[in-house]
Amino acid sequence: MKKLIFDTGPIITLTLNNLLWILEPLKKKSGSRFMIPGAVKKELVDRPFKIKRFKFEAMQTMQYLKNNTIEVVNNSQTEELTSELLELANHCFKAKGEWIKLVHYAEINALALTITEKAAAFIIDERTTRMLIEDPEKLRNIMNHKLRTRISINKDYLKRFHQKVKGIRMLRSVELVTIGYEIGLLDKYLPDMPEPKKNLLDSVLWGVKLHGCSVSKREIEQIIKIEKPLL
Amino acid sequence: MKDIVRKDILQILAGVINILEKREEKDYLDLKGLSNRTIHNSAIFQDDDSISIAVMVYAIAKMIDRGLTERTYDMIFTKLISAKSSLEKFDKNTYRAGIKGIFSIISKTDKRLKLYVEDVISQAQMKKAGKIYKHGISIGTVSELMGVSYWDMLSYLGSTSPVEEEYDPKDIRKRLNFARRIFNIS
Repeated sequence: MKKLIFDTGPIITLTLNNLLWILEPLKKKSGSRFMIPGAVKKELVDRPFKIKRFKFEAMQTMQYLKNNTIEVVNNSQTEELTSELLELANHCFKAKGEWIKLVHYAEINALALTITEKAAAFIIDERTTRMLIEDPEKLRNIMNHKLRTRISINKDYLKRFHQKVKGIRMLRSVELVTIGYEIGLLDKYLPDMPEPKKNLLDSVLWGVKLHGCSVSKREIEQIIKIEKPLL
Repeated sequence: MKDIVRKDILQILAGVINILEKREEKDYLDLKGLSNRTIHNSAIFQDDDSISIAVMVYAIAKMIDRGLTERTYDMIFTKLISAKSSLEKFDKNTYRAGIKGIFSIISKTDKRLKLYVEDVISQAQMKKAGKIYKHGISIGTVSELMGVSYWDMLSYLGSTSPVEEEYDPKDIRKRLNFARRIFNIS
């Protein structure tokens, strides 16, 4: 059975858009297991349970863990790989004589689970982690520019990191909602206005962008263009 | 405390004291600008001192914008001078206690004003968190650094300072095709 591993961000983004419910039909459609590691569960549920803000949203997310739409998976192999990947990732870039701590335990825990479970895809919105995997040079350039200081790369660590994450395919919440749109899951929201489908798609894409998904305006325009035959 | 951080903080404190000494209309804007000075160090060193000075200066700016009593203004000003003096003498413990004292004044004053739903210090934290994220640090790392939740970070980032990621739009077609394969859509 296929496995899809989720990072914290896409689940939060879907919840904040009242779209978490699309996970159940998407899971059925894909015939996959949807999984998260323990550290992601901590960020999703355990931490916000301790504060008032987002506590109810966390409770809503909890329902999807309780009914097994999303499974929480912990194992020692994943924990070991997490430590290894974290050490590599956070010693890749250096500035002013200091290794820059780029990524967080939970983000790397989800990445490690993707590897240990040989998952079909890693669902992650978070830009830094994705760039480190897909285009570290671009990330370095962004940091060079923003930090106004020379960022040096530890090529050996970066190479070792990439050897471990080789072949990982990633998707974002923006792609999930687009698929949801394509298979008609969002049709109940079709508005009474001109170009209802285009308006629906545009609004849901902007909805995920404005709730934290790292997607550009140009990409949203491109998605709408791609989906034109269905509009 | 790293020397580079100490020097940067001293410059900022000097700047803040200079701004507050003159008491002009543009103080709020000048302080806001100054609060960004330690963002680079906050992103690289991720130390409490760089972060707290950034948050504190921004919080002072917000409080001035809302209106401070003469007494509160003077209290903050005095504590800033004292904190600067401690740091110049390499007495980081007294310096940190001074900064904590300023935060306490801001927090008490904010509670008395009761004008905003979210307190000034939280606002300042989120603002600075957003800045550090834009410098390339991951959301998870920033949320841990600033003591805010991932939920808060995403909620704030999306609505106030979305990062325009420059992926090649051509890639989106490949991603969607891959997504369709995953979800068994022909």
